[in-house]
Amino acid sequence: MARIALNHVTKEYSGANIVAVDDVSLEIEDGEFLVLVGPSGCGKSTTLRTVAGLEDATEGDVSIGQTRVNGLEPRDRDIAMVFQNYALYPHMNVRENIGFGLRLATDMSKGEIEERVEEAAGLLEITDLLEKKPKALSGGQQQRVALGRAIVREPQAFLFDEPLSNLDAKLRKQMRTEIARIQEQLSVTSIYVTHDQEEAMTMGDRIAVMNDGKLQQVGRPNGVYNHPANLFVAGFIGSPSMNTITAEVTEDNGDVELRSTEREALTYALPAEVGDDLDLTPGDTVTIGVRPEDVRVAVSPNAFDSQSHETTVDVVEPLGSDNLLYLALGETTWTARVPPSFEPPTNETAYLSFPPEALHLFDERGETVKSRVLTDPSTSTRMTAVETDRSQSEARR
Amino acid sequence: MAEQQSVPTTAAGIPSDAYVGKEPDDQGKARLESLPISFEMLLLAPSILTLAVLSIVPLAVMLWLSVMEVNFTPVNEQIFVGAENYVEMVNDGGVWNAWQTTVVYVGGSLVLQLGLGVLVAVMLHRVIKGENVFTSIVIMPMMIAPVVVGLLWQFLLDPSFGLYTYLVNQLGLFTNRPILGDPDSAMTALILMDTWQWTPLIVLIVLARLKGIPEHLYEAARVDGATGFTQFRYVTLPLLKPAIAIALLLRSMDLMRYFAKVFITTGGGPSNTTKIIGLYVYEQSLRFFNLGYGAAVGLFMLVVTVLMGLVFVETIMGGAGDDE
Repeated sequence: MARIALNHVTKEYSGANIVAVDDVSLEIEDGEFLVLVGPSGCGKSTTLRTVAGLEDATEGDVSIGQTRVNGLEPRDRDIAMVFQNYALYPHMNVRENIGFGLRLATDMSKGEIEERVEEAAGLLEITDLLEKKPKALSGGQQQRVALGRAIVREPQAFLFDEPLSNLDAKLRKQMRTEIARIQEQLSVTSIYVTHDQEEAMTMGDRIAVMNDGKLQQVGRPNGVYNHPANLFVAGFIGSPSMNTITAEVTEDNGDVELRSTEREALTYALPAEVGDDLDLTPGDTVTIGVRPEDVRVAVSPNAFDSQSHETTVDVVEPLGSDNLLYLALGETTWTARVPPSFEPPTNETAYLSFPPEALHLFDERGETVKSRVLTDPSTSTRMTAVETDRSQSEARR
Repeated sequence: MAEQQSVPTTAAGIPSDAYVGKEPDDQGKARLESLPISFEMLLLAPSILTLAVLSIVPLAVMLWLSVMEVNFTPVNEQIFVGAENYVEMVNDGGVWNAWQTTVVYVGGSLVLQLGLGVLVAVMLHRVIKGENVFTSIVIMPMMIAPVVVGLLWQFLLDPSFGLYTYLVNQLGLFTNRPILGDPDSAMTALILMDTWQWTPLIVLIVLARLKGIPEHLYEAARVDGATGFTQFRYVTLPLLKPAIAIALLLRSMDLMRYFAKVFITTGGGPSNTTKIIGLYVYEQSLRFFNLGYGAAVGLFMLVVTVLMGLVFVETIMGGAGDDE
C-alpha cells in the first residue's frame, strides 16, 4: 500500500504537438479510491498511464510510496493495471493468466503461486473458470479474471483504465459494486479512470474531474456535485446535466435581478440576503445554473409562494420513478425532474420556479460565484463561494 | 415453424405484439433446405468439379499406374504387376538415398527460413518509418520464378565469373573447386538459394499475424513484470504459433515436391548428393520412363507430405484456431 503523488505532471506529444496532460498535481492517500473522470480525450487515461509507466511524463514527478518512479519500467513500479479491453492473454487459461505476473516477477514456488491464484479466484467467485481460456468467457467473467490478475500480485496500487466500459449496463452496475467491495476489502490505493460520471459519483472516495488535460476539481463526490468549481464541472457531473442560462446582472431600486441575455427568457429577482453575500455589480454577465431536481414545475403560477417563470413543456419523459420534463426557456431547453404523478400536457404553458438555495452562479470565465445550499442539515454544511474557492485551490495543489 | 409465427404471442398471459418468430429470411432458407445438397455445398460445387478434373482424375490415373508396368518399346503395353513396384521401392537404395537428401534439404531449409523469417518479421514490425518500403524490398525474391532463381544463382555461383564465387574466393574458400560441383557445398548452396527466395513468404505471414496482436497485451505484460525478451517468449511467440504452423505447412509441402531449382543448378549431382525425392521421381518417370515405378514412388511421396502437414497442424496449432 502506498500513497501516490503527481507533482506538476505534464505529458506532451511533441510530434503531434498535443499537450495531453497539463500541469496536473494530485495526491492519492494510502488506501484511497480516487476516480479520475472527464470526457474522452481529456487526458485522464494518459495521466493513469503515466503513473503506470506506460507513458513517460514530459515534466513533473510521479511518486509511488517514497519512490520517485519517473523513468522506471512498469514492472519496477509494483502496480497492477486493469484495462478496458481486459487484455487477457488469449493463449493462456484463466489460471495461467492470473498467475502470470507472479511467475514472472517473483521467485515464488509453483505451490505458492497456485495458492494465491486460488485465493484470488475465490474472492472473485471464478474458481470454476480456472481451466477455461478467455475466449470461452463472457465479458463480465473476463473482467473478473483481469481483476484477479491485478489482485493476486498484491501490488502497492491498482490502476483501472475504464474497466467497465465494454460491459452492458446491468453488468456494469454489478461490477461497480464488486470493484468497490474488493478495493475496500483489500484497501489498496486505487486510481480509477472513467468517462461515466455516475460511476465516478458512486465509486470514488474522492473524484478528480479533468478537462482539456487540466485538473478542474478534486473532492468528495457530493462536494463536487453540490459545489462544482466551475461551469464545466457543473455541467459534467450530474445526469441530466445542470440547467444553465446566461444572464446579466441588473439593479433596480436596490433590488438585484438576473435577466437572461436572450430577451425575456428568464428574469430572476435575487433575494437581498443572497445577493448581499455575493460580489455582483450591475452589468456583469453571469451563468445561472440549476440542477434538474431543484426545478419545480406547475401548470399555474399560483402554485408557488415565490417568483415563477413562464415556460412551455416540450417533452415528458417518464422514467418510472420520476418524470423528466423538457422545458423551453427561450431558445434554451431546461430539464426538470418531477414526481411520476405529475405529467403536464405538452406544448402548453407551464410555470417553473427554483429557490435561491438551489441557485448556482458562474462568472464570465465560468468560475463558480455561488453554489447550491442544501436545506437538509444532516447531509450538508453551508458552503459558499469562499469554501468553493478552497476546493478549487485543492484541485490545483 | 410457420404455424408458430401466425399465432399471437402471449407471455405470462399478457398479450404482446413482440415478434417472437424466427428471422424474416426464414422462408428463403426453407426453400434452400429442400435441395438435396446443402447451400454451402452448392456454392462449393464449381470448385469441386474443377478440382476433380484437374486433380482427382490424375490421382486416380497415378494410382492405376503404380500397380502397372508400362513399356513403350517394342510395343506399347501395360502389364498388371500388383504391389511389385512398391516392393521394388522398398529395396531400392536410390529411393532411400533420395529421401535422406530430402530430409536434409527440407529440414535445413525450414529451420533456416523459419528462424530468419520470424527474426526479420519482428524487426520489420518495429520499423516505424518506411516499413512498407522495407517490406516491399524484403519480399522481392518471392516474386521471381523458381527457374529464374536457379539460373540467377547458377550465374552468381559460376566458378569463373560468378559474383558470389568471387566473394567467397576473397575469403580463401572454394578457390580450386566449383561451389555447386562440390559434394560438400552443393546442398548448402541449394538450401541458401531456397532460403533466399522463400524466407520472405514466412516474413509476410508472420508479420501479418504480428500486426494482429493487440498492443494492450504487451502493456499488460509489461505491468505484469515482463522484459522485452519475456514478452517475446510468453506473449508474441505463443500467439505466432498459428501463423508459424501455416508457414511451415506451406513451405514443407512446397519443399517436399521441389524440383525446379535443383534441376536447373545441379541436376541432382554431384554424385547424387542433391538428388531430392522430387527429382528422383522425375528421373524415373520422365527420363527413364519407368512410369509405373515412378508413380509408386510419387504416391508414397504424397502420403508422406500429407502426414507431415497433419503433424504440423496438430502439434503446433493444437487442433487449429483455439488460441484466439
